[in-house]
Amino acid sequence: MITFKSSKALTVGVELELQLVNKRNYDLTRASVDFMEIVKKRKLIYDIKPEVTESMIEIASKPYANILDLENELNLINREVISIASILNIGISGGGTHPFQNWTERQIFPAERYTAVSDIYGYLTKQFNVYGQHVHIGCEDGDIAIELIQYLSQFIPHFIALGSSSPFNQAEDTLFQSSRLTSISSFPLSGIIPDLSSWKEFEIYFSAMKDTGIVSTIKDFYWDIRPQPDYGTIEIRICDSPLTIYRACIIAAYIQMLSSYFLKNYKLLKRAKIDRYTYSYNKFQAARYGFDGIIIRNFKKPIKISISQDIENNLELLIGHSFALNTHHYHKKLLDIVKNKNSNSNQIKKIYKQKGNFPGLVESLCDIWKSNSYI
Amino acid sequence: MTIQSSLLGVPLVILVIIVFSQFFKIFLKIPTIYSGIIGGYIFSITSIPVIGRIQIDALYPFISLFTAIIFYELGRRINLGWVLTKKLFFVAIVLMFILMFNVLIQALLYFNLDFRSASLISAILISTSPAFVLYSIKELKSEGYLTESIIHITGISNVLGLLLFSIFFDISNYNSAAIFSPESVSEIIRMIISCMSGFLTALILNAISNFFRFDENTQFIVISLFIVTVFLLSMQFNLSGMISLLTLGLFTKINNQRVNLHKSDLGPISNFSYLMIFIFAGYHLSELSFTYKDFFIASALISIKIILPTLFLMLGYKFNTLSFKKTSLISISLISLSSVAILLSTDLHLIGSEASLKAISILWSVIFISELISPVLLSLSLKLSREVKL
Repeated sequence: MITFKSSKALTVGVELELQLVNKRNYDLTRASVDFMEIVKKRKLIYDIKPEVTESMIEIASKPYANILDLENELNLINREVISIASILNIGISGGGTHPFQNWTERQIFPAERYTAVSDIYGYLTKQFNVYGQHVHIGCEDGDIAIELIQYLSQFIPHFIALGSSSPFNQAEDTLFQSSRLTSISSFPLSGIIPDLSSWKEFEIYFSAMKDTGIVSTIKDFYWDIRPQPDYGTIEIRICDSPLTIYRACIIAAYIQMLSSYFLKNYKLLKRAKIDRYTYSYNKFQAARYGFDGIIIRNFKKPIKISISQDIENNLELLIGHSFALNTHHYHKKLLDIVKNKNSNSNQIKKIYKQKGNFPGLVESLCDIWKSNSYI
Repeated sequence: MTIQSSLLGVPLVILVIIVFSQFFKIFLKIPTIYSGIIGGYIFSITSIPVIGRIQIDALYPFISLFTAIIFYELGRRINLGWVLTKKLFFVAIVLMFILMFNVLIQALLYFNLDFRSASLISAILISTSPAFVLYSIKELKSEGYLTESIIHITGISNVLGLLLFSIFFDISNYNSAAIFSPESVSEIIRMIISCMSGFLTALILNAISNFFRFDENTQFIVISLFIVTVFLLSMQFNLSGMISLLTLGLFTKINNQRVNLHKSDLGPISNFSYLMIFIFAGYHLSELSFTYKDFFIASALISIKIILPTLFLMLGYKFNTLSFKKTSLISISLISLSSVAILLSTDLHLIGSEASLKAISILWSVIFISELISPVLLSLSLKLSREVKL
């Protein structure tokens, strides 16, 4: 029996995994142990955590009903993060992957959970040194959470395209907009949540998985969207870490508006089924081509549509919700991004073209993160 | 002797020395620093009777060049922006070194050395070997707050050490106004000009590289030629080559779009320089003829070098941002002495007085102990801090 802790509907929280790089050649560096030492020493009230390797940290906001408040808190946290980074002589960068790191150089953070993960998954854990944005949406009960997961899963290609910021991996242009996803798909419990329609069904499924020893906690599921009963949220885990906090908030606002649309039309949408036949294909299109990806809606009566067009269609439906949620500013910006196909991945490629080398690129990404420009 | 035959001697001697040191490294699995030292020592006791001291001493300018190359690398690893961010910490470190300098002088005066020798030895002793530090960090792939702190403190200790050595080299009488004497002012000016020459050369190097956008190999050659040129010009104009190269490294920032030039080291050239410095350090051990008294004094001086920074950093622990464990590990990481100390000790020879010979004997004892224990302590502290790659 897992209790789903009720939380206020449509509240939003954001977690961002960030890269720690040295300032000598802008490769990843092992600094999270030192980083956490200073966080502890400063007695910060913010949520700053270590992650699986010593070259990453995670920052997380509290849940907010208003995305502007969320953005403010993330900016405050980031101010501390930048200050600690300057003490440690390191840089902080967004982006789903580090462009030229060598995964064999990574070191697992010395904590029981990460060591256990490393023992189970071996080299995959070090290859899992990728950086994502997780968006939590508050749900009043477990049934709504499961329904909302099923509903939002159809928009996974949108989230991938909007968040994509990992065109380079291991010093190669992958030709993908989001190469980070391939690192996650190696895990056995990644991908789409099983076909469940209520919290009760989830509980039965989870206890069966636990009894067989496949999982021990919810965290062992690396699904694209998973429930988080302890927080009373669902967690969308598919997006790359964007280059700025502002972009992270735009994505969070889109997910909040979609969730609001779902709740408003709950009776109509609550039995929405994910098209599992096309799920992986659509995901691939989004990861490979971003906004230009062509996805298939409705496998039985197929409709081909570009991801950018599909998001634009959605945004038209969401205008009213954007005013209700006070996210119209983000809505406008989102439309602008989609129309110009202005993904972070495209921006990264543009900077790389200007700089001509990977360290120069990462240096620029650190500057962008520090200045938190509106890109 | 023809030019060809005298030139032939240089690579041959270097080759023999390298074979010596690699023998220990490959067959006896001894770490590079120690195998270099042992190789150098064995070479010295076997070769001097055959080749003669003078021929081997002709290699000294090369050792100065290798040391200068390491200073360039040290400069590349130093981030002035970080020093400014943590200015209070680094001001405190400078004060700590000045305090250490004075305590060492008092200790040496207590052991009956004259003021001039005591101040020169103390200036040498406050510095840390950049070769030992940088090589250990590279070999262990060490990264982190302690590593960064050690690199930057090593830079500061060397600049201060070289400055104090130059100032006190020409001062023969102890009085409080000595530091403001015309000789000392001219030494400070010499150091400033050395810095300026490195800075200006860096600007030229950056401009040329960014304008021509050399390919990687050409860029490597251009940087190497700049290093050699700055070093030779420093010798020509009686500037400090080490300080010039340190400054050159500090301000070299090439934004060449065609190649990855954020690399801080000079690849095989720097590896060769490190090896030669370790060999050089071992080579000089054959000159060692210390007495038990020298050994006792040297141990006392090394104790000061460890205890004083430990106390200083521990007292200021609350004000710095290093963890308690890492703070306590800094001091034992800083005791190494090698080529800089040896090269400066040759300047002490120039004084030629009885007191200076006694001072050299003490200095050699300190260098010997330091070469013996510092690589182990340095790698131990990096391992304990968990900054090395496991």
